[in-house]
Amino acid sequence: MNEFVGRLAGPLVSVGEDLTTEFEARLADSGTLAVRVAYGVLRNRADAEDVAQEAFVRAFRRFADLRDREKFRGWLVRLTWRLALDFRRGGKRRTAHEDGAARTWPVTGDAEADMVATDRSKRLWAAIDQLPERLRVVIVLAAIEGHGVKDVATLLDVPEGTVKSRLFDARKELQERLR
Amino acid sequence: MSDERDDLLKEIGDLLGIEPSPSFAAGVRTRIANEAAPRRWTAWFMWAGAATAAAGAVAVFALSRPTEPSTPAPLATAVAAATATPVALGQVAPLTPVGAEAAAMAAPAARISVTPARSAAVVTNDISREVLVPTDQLVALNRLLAAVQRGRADVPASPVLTDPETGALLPLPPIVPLAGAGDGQGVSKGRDK
Repeated sequence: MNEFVGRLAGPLVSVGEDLTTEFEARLADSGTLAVRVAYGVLRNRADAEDVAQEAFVRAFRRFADLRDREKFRGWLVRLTWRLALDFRRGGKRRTAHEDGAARTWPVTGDAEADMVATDRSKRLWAAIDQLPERLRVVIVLAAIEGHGVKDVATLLDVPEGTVKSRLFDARKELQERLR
Repeated sequence: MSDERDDLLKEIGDLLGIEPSPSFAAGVRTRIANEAAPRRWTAWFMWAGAATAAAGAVAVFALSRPTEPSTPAPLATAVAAATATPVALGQVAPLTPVGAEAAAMAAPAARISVTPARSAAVVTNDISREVLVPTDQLVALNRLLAAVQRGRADVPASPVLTDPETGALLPLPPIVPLAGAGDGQGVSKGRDK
């Protein structure tokens, strides 16, 4: 992440040098998180990047208020999730669920194993999609980058007890649907 | 957490484990740059519009003010205005001084009764008043003042008559209707006295 940001580094406009440097750091630090959060809703890489970019543009407008790293990440995650939901509801998706299974389960050469893996992936996505929003966002954030309960609580700005409860419910529902 | 549940989270994490494309950060910068430019134009147009509206409001206010009725210009004001514009004098009365006139032009101030300092004061005091002088009268005044400056004419300091010996003020002669009006012989009775 840092490599490609450094490679493509260019000047950002309209803010001072310090803010530009800080925003570049946030972009490098939270870009992957934003894309994965959007991908958790949209399951299309191009759409997820579009939504994540839009979230960063909006974050840039308010960056003077969001200079704290944790505050920025939490705000960005919530905004990205909301934008992704709006994007999906607006029917703007290019091709729904186009690469969810194919990307995650590499071809092993064993046709039967590949088919089983692909089927498992599809079922898992379907189970996640059927979760209520409040449970889905918790399970997605907990699965991304190994976030713990405290991290998820900070990102969503909710109490840790709420996260624990929702995480428990989400796992339970997923396991029931995957049986 | 049981191992089974941890495996579930890991499995979901694998599904979500995509990396942004190399153009992702560049795309963010481009979108920010594209957004900033229209904003600058918007701000520029806003300021231009506000300035135009303000200018329009001032113009409407100025035009809606009640104007004073045009009255003949007082002589002092007209003379002051004329003397305060020496360039106009040369343009209106392009007289070429010759002989004694040229010599007299060397010290014209001694023979001019209306001084520029006095006229300037008059203009300053009347700066808020609108003085309308017909063009033909202004031309005549300019010619008169040009002649005075060149020593070809003299203007009394005040429109009163004084006794040349005592310096006492004399009453102005009464204006009497001409007896022979219409016979081409009309002259002022005051002069005959």
